[in-house]
Amino acid sequence: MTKRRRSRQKRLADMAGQTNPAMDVWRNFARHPVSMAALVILILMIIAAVVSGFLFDYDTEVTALNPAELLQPPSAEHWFGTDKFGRDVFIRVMYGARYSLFFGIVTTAVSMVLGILIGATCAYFGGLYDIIVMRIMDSLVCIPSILLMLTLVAVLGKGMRGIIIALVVTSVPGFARIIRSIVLNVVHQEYVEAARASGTGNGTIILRHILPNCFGPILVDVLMSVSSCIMAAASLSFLGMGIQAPAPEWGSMLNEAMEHMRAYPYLGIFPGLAIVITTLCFNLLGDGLTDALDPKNR
Amino acid sequence: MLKFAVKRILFIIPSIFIITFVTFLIMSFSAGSPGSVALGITATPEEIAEYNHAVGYDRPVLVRYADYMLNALQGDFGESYSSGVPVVDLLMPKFPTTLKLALFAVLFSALIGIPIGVLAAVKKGTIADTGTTVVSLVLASIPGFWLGLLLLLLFSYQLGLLPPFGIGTWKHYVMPVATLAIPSSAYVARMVRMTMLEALSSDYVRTARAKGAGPGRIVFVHVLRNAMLPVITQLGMSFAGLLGGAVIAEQIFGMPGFGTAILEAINKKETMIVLGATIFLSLLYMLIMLAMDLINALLNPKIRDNMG
Repeated sequence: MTKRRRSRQKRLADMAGQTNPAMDVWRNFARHPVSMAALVILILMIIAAVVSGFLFDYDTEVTALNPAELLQPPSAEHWFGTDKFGRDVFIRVMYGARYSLFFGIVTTAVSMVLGILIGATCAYFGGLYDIIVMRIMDSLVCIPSILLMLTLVAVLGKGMRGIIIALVVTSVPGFARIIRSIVLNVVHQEYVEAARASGTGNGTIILRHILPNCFGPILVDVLMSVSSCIMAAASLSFLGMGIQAPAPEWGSMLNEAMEHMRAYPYLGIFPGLAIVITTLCFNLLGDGLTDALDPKNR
Repeated sequence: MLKFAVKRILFIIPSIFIITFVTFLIMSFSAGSPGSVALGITATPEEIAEYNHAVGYDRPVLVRYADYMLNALQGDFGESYSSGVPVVDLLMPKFPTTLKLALFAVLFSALIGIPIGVLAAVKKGTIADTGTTVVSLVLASIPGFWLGLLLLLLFSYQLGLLPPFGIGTWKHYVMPVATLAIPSSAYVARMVRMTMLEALSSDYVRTARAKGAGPGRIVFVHVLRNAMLPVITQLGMSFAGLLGGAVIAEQIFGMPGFGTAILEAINKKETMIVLGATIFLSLLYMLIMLAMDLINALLNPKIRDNMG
């Protein structure tokens, strides 16, 4: 009875056009089991990453040598086996999520903010400023990204700071360009003209009227960027130019595993699987959102 | 068309200066100076400073950049700090290996990716479409270096079919090329599917259908030609990107290519080599993009009109 009444209320609300657009997108998104599964896995991963910081002691459990248990295959005690220093691979893979998720999310957030600043101001002000800044952005894209990252890390030093700056420098031009084109579409619409005519300042117009309308289209790019940043960071570490051993970064774990892969293949399997699952989930989330945000599907 | 071409070619000149300057500026913060690399760790700071002064390294960045560019325009990209061998002589012998890797990788990614993408688009909504979409998404999520390790594990260590490292025979190139081509072909397939679907739903297809053209004729004569334009550009970009990205395959399979040389130079703080290699690959990228743009303009008058 109550259920029927509630659905009737909802139908009335629908008829009156009182639907919440965010709820619509969510309902569309939740219909896809694959995207939902990706979301759940990512949430579990984030929880695992946070919890592993409290659960395991970095010095004694994550990086300490344990000569008594060298190179053991996966077992009930060591789910993913142990590496050449006797360290538990499961603990290290779980702890490694902290690095990858951090790189993916933080560098994307920073690049997005910088990209918005650059792209929105270019589109809004136009003129010489736009031409010069966008030429610089376009030129940066011409430097092969892996090379640009390697040279930046070489100069800034291997480690956290180097990786983050390298990833940001290579991701910003893409964001700047996308945001510029979106803002260019929005900037000439009537509500912006109206705001300008009524004397609203440039900053307020960009923040209050333009950016909220860019959110949907760039959300997908943001998720794709998270997964490509995770991959790029792991590649740098794999090449020995990123996070250094003994830290359990997935890429550097694979680098370490290379020499023992022939006899102990499991060493090379689990960290790689972790990378694939993480990047795949972000990509699936992006695909699901693309569908959910598509007005045709509402 | 000529006007467009000239305009587009003039367009890259400022880019050349921006790229070289940005790279030069980044490398000028490098911890390795000519003195510190050439004289080794036993040298005192005074000796290093003296050496740097003698080779003109203590001049302002802008002056050194102008100097570098004047020499570079004449084909002189400086010398290795430690051995004094010209950068061009050091790097060029390594290039053919990397070029082969990138060329074959892009060739195979087109040969695999385009048919799969076309099939997925034509059979939209069927199991074939869903299957290829899922597989290509998974493949696109695999980092190249892990794919390389898995291939190594399977084909060299388990099956013993292919040599694990080195160059020489065609067998040495199978796994490195696959490492680069598989993720790239997944990307191409996704892109082809998207552009095909877009073209299939356009007005000229409806017209062709209304005029009685069969499905085969529509796909191969009308749609494919239009859908391939962005794909050609994408293949050009992948090729240019793979020239840099080959470093990963070179590292896993022990191939002495361009990327390995760059990585070595970075570790030895050989700034001139890193600089020369980066500038070379970036310019190559720009030239490839230029070629792609010109091809696109040749095939599509709309682009010409927009630019010209």
